[in-house]
Amino acid sequence: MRKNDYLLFVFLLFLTGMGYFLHSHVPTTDGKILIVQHGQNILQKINLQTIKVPTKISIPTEHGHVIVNIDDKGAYVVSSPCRDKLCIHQGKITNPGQTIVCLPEKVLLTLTATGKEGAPDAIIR
Amino acid sequence: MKKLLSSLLIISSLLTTGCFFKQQSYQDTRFLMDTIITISVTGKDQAAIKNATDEAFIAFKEVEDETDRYKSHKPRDLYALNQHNGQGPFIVGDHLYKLLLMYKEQPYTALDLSLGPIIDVWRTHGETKTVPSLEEIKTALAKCGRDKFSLDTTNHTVTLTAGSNLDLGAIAKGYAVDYAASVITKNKAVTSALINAGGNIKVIGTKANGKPWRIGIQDPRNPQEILGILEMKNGQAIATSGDYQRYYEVNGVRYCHILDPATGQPARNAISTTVVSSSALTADFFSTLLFVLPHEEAISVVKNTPQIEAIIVNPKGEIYVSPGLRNTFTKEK
Repeated sequence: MRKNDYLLFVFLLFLTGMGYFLHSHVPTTDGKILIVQHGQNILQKINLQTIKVPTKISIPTEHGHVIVNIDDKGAYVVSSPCRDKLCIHQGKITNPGQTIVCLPEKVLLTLTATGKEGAPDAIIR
Repeated sequence: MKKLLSSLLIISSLLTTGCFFKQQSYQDTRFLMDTIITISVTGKDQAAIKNATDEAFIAFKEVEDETDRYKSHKPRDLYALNQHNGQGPFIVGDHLYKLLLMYKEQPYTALDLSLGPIIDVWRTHGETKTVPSLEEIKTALAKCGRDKFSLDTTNHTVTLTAGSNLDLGAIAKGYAVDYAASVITKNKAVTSALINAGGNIKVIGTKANGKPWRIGIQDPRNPQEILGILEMKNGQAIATSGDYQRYYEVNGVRYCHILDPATGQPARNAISTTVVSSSALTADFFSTLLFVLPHEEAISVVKNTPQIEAIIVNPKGEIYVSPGLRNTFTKEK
């Protein structure tokens, strides 16, 4: 084997290794992401790992504001201008796949997780 | 040596350029048919799968417009049919006709599409958090029943008796999910999809990693938890009926939206029923039916209906899982 062959061989081996590494070691986060949506608009995507202190967000709707409490574990609706308050009764979501829906106010809160094995793809309500 | 170098060149090319031919994903969520609908699609071309998703939502809108009881959309829709009660035959749209035909072919009386009058009574009382009197219920129930409408299969018409009013809430979403799935499947760029219409889900293909879809079933009494996870195969649909999504309470008693046609009162034989089938319409129909039936009768229906499998939670919290799901349903600890 000539020197240039040897160098090409090492280079291709390196390239092959890099290719394998890129495919199987995509960086993932194990955190939960809360997606806050009003109608078709995604208002915010919040990585719950960044929430150090429980916090409230206010979602403006046609009839007022839907207030949501968020901490590093999940989220729940504190108050809503809707009539039946079912979104409040739904309680706190803490698992990926879970959602809280307020149909009259068109608010949807979805908890997702990236890189987390075992989480369902959807939860049927 | 040359062969080895050639092989390495090919392998490294495949591994690195594989990144540029990844499956594309697209997801969209809209409010339709009085619920949240999320469609997630994977395929070869971003523009094509977005197009498939848009067309699926058009399909949902088409069914919504034809089966909406509360608002006029088209000349041959459900709203127009209901307005025509007591006035003879009425030509209806294709989707509406197919739904009513499917219903008429089923023998069960525990699921009734003519409950419009009694649904309206509960709706009115729900606004003031009161309970209708037995007299009110009896009067409304007298206008309901399978005999209150008939189909003419030759002329494609429906005839409603005077005072009757149809409500297709029990089956319209399932039908729409099947229709949307058929639209998505026609697009050859799509490799897999998950259509989630709240209590109705249908899956196409497998996930991008080749594994089956995993659907969590909500715990009916603890919204933070799930009963377990069901693995779904290509083409399967799942529908859940429960007393925990749409209800109101008076003096600590829950009044849910699923009514027993025999009594006009909210059904109380189950707190959650989940049905799996290859058709979302079938799953939707039977999830409502099984919710109304007494527990043992519901289990008997499941055993005698080969095209469905079910998970039923009775008011005591006991869970029945039909044999066909015992290998694919994993209970949450």
